[in-house]
Amino acid sequence: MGLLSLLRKLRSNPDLELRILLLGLDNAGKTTLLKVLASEDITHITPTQGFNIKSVQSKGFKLNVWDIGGQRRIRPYWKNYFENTDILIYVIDSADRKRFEETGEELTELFEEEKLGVPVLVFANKQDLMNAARSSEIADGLNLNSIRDRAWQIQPCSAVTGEGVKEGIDWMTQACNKKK
Amino acid sequence: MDDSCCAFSLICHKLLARDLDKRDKSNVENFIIDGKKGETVSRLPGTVNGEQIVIQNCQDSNIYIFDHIATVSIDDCINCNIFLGPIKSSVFIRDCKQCRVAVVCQQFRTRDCFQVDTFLLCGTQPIIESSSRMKFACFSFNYSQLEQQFKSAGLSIFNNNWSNIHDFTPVPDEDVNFSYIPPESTLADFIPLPEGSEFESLQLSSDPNTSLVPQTWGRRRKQSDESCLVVFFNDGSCVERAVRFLHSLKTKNSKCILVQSKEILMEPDDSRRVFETESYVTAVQGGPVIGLELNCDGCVALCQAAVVELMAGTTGLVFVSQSPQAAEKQVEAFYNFADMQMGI
Amino acid sequence: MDEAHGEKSLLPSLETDLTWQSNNPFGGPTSSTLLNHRSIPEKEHEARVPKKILKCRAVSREINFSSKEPMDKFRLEQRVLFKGKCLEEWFFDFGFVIPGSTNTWQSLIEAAPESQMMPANVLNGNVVIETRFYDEEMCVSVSKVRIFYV
Repeated sequence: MGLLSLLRKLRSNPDLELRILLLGLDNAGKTTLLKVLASEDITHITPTQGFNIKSVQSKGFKLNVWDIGGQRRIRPYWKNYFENTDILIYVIDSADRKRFEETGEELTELFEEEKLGVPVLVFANKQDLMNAARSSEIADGLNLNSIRDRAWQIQPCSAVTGEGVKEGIDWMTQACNKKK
Repeated sequence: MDDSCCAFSLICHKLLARDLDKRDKSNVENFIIDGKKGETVSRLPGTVNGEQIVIQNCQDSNIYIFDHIATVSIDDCINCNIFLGPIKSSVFIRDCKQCRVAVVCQQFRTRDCFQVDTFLLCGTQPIIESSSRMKFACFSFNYSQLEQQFKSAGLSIFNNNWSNIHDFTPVPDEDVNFSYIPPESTLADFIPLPEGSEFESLQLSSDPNTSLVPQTWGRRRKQSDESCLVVFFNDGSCVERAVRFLHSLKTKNSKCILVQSKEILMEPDDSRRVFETESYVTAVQGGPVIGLELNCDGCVALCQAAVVELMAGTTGLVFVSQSPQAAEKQVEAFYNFADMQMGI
Repeated sequence: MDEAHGEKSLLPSLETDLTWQSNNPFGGPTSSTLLNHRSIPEKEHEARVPKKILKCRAVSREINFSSKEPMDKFRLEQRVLFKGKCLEEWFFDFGFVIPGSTNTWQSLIEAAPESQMMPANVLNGNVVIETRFYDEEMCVSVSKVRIFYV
């Protein structure tokens, strides 16, 4: 796919610059997703110790995707990256059952942020793993169905195999182009 | 809310659910090691076969996974010995204390741990968070299927960052969160080898001299000011050649140490920059090269002699530093290049 | 003078790596690393670059940096200077930088049409790529690379 083609899809949005923010707990697979979006190799990804940004620019349009590290120690800094975000992608490790509660709490806090009242795509990642929970189970656990104030979507996926990623992007494109 | 999106999502659910159902999940318990107390649990080659392993709530137990694995989480374990074969992505250790772990992985992460001793091969920089009294050593072990399992997990025995720990929660002005295990200690001093006839065919060995993973000195203080860069270019047998080279060095001078090693792809332009010559432009196109930094007094002469001996009668190409002065620059150029290539 | 002093005091905390890469995202494995160095601030570096980069449809630039200290308004200005005259410039606002962090930025820009490109022999040795890093208005690092097309 690649980021240039993503940019082309998103171009019907009137904004000249689009900002996508990737958040989630550490080890959720945010950087792997970022690299999958950019059609890059994913065999050698190091734990993020800050942020990774990918920018593309074509014919006056710009797309910036921000991937911020998810360790508990650096989560308090997430708020510095909310401003001007158009879409939030929240990534969950579907096989890390021990931390479903923790990831739910972080997501709930994000929903309460005024600066982040944007459409949310939740990727229930790592569906390829033996211990992965179904995305419906995760949606129930996170109480996503009670969300009324924004467009949202939960998308099961495996960044490693690529399954489900395109479907998530398609939803994001629609949500983005619908937004004024 | 857009109804068509939700409908679309439901279809996706069904598609994925169907895909997953195709796989046999009936024996999922085989992959979850939960609540063992004073027991020994093992998995032999072929029984995990690249799936996920979960280890949790165990105490005073020995756990051996002699197979390649997708990813591992170890939670809430106390006083356990854990051996894990090659892991394609990450191992995440949380809320564990007084454990001894041997692990080969792409990513190593800990949180809320205390006194975990780790014999490690890690393809990227290991990270610890809110963990203290952690100790690290270079992974040193072998068994008959280990080499094949490295390949299945997509790992290289030469890409090992075991000593380059990043601490997310350092204690100001103190160095208490992690330290290194003395180089003379072996894995068997920490983790007892399992006994039983089922392990005989594995030919388990904790002898550092037969370890599949070359023993690297890492970030410990170097013993000499003289280093040497040796690079093996890929002609199909460079891994075997690099291993033979390291063995021959050991017999020539036991004080000679391997500081660090890397196996990495180089483009022609990279080779011009790193070696400052056109000579290796063709050689680097054969595949990933293996770069070794050796260190001891008289290291450059020693490496040159060993390479001449090793390459006698072959057509393979090897780069060796010409002088200690040149070596210093070359070591820096090569590993700067490698670190940046492996940035994220 | 005072300001220059202020710059230096921050330098040790910022370590930057720069990689410029030409690549062709439209197919073909024609990617080559242009420059790959750990910048020593203030010093002008030289880079030898294959001419074919001028024909690439898109150019990717990658910067890695670490910072011990937090920074509130980190940003960069990048300029392509031909005989000291600015041909192209890019700006990017990173904003907040987490203390003790290592960060990466990769930017892919579709190149100018080939007809607008000057020939390699004219550009050779006359192009300097200058990257300035700022925290708000304070310059924390400068990297200059002179390009030779081979």
